[in-house]
Amino acid sequence: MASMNTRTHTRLRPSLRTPRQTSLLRSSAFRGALVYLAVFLAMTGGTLAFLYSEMARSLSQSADRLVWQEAAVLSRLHTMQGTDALQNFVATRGQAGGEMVYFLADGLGTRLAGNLAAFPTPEQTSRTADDWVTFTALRGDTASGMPVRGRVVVLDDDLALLVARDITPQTTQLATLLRVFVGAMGGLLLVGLFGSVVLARRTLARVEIITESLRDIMQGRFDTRVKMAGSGDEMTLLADQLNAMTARVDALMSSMREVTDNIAHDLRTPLNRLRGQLELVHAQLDDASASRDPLIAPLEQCMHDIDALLENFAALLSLSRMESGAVARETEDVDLNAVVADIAELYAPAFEEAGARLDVVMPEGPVRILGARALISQAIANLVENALKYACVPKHAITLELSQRATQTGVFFDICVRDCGPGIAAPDRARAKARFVRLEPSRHLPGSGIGLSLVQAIAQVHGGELTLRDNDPHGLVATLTMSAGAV
Amino acid sequence: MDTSEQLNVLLVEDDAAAAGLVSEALGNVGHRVAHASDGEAGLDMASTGGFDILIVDRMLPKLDGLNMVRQLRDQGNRVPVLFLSALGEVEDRVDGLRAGGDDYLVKPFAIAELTARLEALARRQLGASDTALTLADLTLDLVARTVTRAGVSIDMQPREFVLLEYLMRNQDRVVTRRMLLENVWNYQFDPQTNVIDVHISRLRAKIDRGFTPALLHTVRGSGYVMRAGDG
Repeated sequence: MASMNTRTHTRLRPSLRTPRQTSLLRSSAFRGALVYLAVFLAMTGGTLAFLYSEMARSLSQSADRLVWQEAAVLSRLHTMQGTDALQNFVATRGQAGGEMVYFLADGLGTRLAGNLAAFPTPEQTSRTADDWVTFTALRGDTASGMPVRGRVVVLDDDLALLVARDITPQTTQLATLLRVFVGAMGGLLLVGLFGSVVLARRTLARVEIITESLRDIMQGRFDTRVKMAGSGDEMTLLADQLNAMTARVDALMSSMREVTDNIAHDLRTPLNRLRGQLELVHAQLDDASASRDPLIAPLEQCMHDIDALLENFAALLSLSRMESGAVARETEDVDLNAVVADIAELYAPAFEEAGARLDVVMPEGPVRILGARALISQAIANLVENALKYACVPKHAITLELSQRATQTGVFFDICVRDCGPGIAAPDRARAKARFVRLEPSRHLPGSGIGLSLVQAIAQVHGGELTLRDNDPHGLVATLTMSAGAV
Repeated sequence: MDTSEQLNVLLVEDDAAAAGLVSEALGNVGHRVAHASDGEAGLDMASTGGFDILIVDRMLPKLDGLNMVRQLRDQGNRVPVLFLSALGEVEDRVDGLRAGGDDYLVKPFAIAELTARLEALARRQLGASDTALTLADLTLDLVARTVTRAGVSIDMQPREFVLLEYLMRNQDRVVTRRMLLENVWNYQFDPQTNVIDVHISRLRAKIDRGFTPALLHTVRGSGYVMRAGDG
């Protein structure tokens, strides 16, 4: 029994529809991680900013309370013991130095006591809404200025008392805090970015494993399996499901191949036998009598019909095997110029016989493609034969043109057959490529309706496609496109 | 169809009905057919020699056709082999020819096709090294690549020359359209149109028009034959 045990799948080249490689920046894993990182950073940043402002407020409040208390003590001293006592006290306190700044002035602004040389001018101070002033104090005992914050209290007898406190400690504290916070945010950002890249690359790598395998499977290598390392996560689960699906498709394809091979053997063999017997009878009838036997004509019709049936069978089997990817095991370096020239040489006389002409247009020099020569020849022959059968208008030229073009996805070869026949109406074009479809005007002509399907399948084996469009002003342009592959 | 010679044919085929049919058809045209129904028996019979040609099915019990012929070739046996097979893709043919087959016929085939190929193959060795081929007053000079008939030089396109050469090498034997397509044009597919007939009628116009007798004859239902007698 016929059974195909040799499973032969060869990837000729990536097809026209090879998906683009996903770049890291476009990957959804990376983008997702980035969005997550941004949200996380914003929330952390918000929290830290709140913390910072609370700390600043609390520090400044406790400093302010000290200033208030000092001012209150001095104010009560003035009320209870008078200006001189206050003046002495302020002088003593001022000499003690430390973090406090005092300045006591009379109504004219003359300094009465304090460790400040002069009352700061309004330009030197910044004043808040609740009358707190901040300025750089130039104290007698310190060489450089000291940032202080305090307030002016107006006492009886037209006296003005400025009490302020050094804010360096809290400023330093806040600056340190800010540095820590910014550093933490920067660190988070770096770790987050690194994590996103690692995560995205890992995901991409695993997705790439799957797409790579799927590409092979789509090109007919059904023994391909997705090899996914890892244990039980969603990607391995997906890979397992894909593998199960591919195994199922593989089994179905194998059984289809087996069925077609069995058809080839079990149905064609008896038909062949039948034809052989008719042929024997035919030979005997032909020999037996000198005059033509009346049975010979119907006998010949029978043989002719069986031949047509067997031919359709053969074409269909060819097509099935091509579409299942089980062909083109052997590819070679093919010179398309030579292939086209040979086909033209074979068919040109038939066109001339019909009163038409077959023009050939080819680029200079060899045009090389990695492919199956016999299949390419057959595809071109099918297109040329279609033109000969359906579109051969006397005194018109049918053009067979080979051209080459480079696109972003690679180099492609177009083999174009242009005729001036009736053409194919736009809505029928897709259908024309389907198997067994015979379009209306030519339905009565001999043919199986497999020709264009076969061309389409051959184009796909060579990483291309078959396109049909209108010729100007009328007729059909059938273009067989093939990818140059790695020649 | 008349044949001047009788061929000793060994048919290795497991399908008894098909084998009977082929035997009968070949017997009718005057050949002697021996039959083996599996690869081992076929190898034994072929090894003893005495056959002009082998017809071998590719798929056989015990020892398949490819391996049978391979082993035969390993023994140094050069007898011409024609493979029969239901597998008709190009690579299947290539496999057959690589294993040591000389021709490859895909099932289903017409008996006339088989007979024509068989006779062409059995006699192929003859005249392979000729420098000229002649039939009646037609002469093909294989070295100078020129054709003359009755002393008149005939202008030939390169492909026409190859076509005529193939027909001349097989003179007196029927050559089918498929054989022409395979051997002259090197194509394996069947044209749905009459391209071969057009080439033949052009060739006929060149070598037969204005000369007698006609040399290139059409054999109805089979193909063409080059012969000096009437068709």
